[in-house]
Amino acid sequence: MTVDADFSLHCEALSFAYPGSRRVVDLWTHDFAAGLCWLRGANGTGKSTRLKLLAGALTPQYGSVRWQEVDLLKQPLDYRRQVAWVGAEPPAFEHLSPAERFAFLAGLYPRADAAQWQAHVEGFGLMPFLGQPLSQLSTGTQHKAALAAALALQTPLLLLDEPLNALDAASVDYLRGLMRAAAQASDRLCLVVSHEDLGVMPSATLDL
Amino acid sequence: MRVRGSAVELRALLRRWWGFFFVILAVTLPFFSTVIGIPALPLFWAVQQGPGWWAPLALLAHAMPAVLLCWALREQMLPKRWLQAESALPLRRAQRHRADLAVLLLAQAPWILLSAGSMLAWRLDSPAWMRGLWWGAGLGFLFSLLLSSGLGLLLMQAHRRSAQTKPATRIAVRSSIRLSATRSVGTWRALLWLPLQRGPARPVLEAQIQGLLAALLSLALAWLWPMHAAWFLALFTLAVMGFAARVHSLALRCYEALRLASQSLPLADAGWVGRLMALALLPAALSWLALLLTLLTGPWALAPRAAPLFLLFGLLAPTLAIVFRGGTADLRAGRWLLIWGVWVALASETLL
Repeated sequence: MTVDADFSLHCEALSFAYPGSRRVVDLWTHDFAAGLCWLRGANGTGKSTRLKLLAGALTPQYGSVRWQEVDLLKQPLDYRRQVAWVGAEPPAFEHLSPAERFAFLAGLYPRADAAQWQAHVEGFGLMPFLGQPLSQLSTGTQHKAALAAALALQTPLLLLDEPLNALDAASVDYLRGLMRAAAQASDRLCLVVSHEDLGVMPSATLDL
Repeated sequence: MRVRGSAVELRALLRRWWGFFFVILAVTLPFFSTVIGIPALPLFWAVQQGPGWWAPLALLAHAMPAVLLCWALREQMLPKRWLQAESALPLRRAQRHRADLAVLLLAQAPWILLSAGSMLAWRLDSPAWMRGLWWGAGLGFLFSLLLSSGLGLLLMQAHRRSAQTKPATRIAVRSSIRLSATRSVGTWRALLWLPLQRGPARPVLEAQIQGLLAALLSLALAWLWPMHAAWFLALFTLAVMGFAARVHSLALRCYEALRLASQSLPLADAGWVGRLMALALLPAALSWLALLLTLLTGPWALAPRAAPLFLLFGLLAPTLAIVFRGGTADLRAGRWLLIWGVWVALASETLL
């Protein structure tokens, strides 16, 4: 399956407040182009919340998100098929092993590629951990398993929250190589929230 | 800190269950003057028996409800999520035991109050056979409390041990990565069965097994004592409906994190309602099949009208109790009791 070349992601007046709290995201409007976008900002500016809103993990109280012609609120399942998200917290479904987790996700995402997953597994040095539940793996290994799966889902929109956290040096190098390639892509967007310097030149930087 | 944390947990528990307590209190209130004397009776019996085997047994019997409370509330007294943090604190064993004892007293408070109320009721009534036994009964009460607290401490230690992390084990390591990566893991297996088997939803599986065993035990008792079969059928209805509600409530709690995590996946949120309901009704469905088999092959004659209705309601009652969950706690409790009341009434008419 191919991805449309004319990539467009648009969020319009996106707003969100956690219960009993001030608005973390207030009327956020932005057009994203394909490539590698670095989302920067101080603590508490709502970077992770924005990523969760774009992923569909949180429902905005106001506003909309559209990928191509697919609207997150009107066609949530169609939209989510285009998005892979790796949060900063330990990955969900920790009762599954990395292999089972990818096998489960691969059934939900139409472009998932098992060969790519195997390449990422080798790149992140995950081979010895494929049969253990995520709950029994270290924080870094859990994070690598989540990254390998998300990258192999081949979605046009990839959202990574602090992807360099808890990674060993070899894995950081491998991920930087992938981000370098993502910066050149014209058909997909890799949106990254990171406090650290990415170590590669992003195609766009968004300061909050 | 432990006492405050446990008090918060207990208040939350009470908020969830107060509707049921209210209904049960309303039902038992007319018999209150008869029932209130029971909790203190073993203490007086123990003193009356004097030295020997019966006195300690009577005290143990008095301590058992308090021990049961300690067991049932162990997670509220010492949540598993606290254990690692507790282990990391520079606490001596004696300090841990003191903290355990404080929260155990909190857990036993209902039984202590009930026993004290019971003794007060007997004091006001002051029957002749109790004269001269009061000091002994008071000491017995103290001894019973020590006994239940000691057993409670042992339960807490067992709770700590059971929560310790098990050594990492590999699961289903396959010979080829390609094989495991390309063999799809379905939604029901990944989100429902594996959590039951491996961890986050293990309490649901345990409750399912307990529910099924309770239902099968009541049917076995009905088979063994056909003269009292109607009573055991009533017990069956209580076990099936009680565990269906319990499993459903546990499933809602245990699967909540998975449901929230699946919100960012291309999965319909509505599917969760059906999945969790299926989990809750599985033991009820299996119990119903066992009921059908027992009724058809048992040593009794079936009432021609009541028996089919009883069986039909056996399918409906647990489902209705789960499907209609709206309203306040007492409304839910009342609705549950009404449905159970109809089913149990049919149970009493089923056997000729």
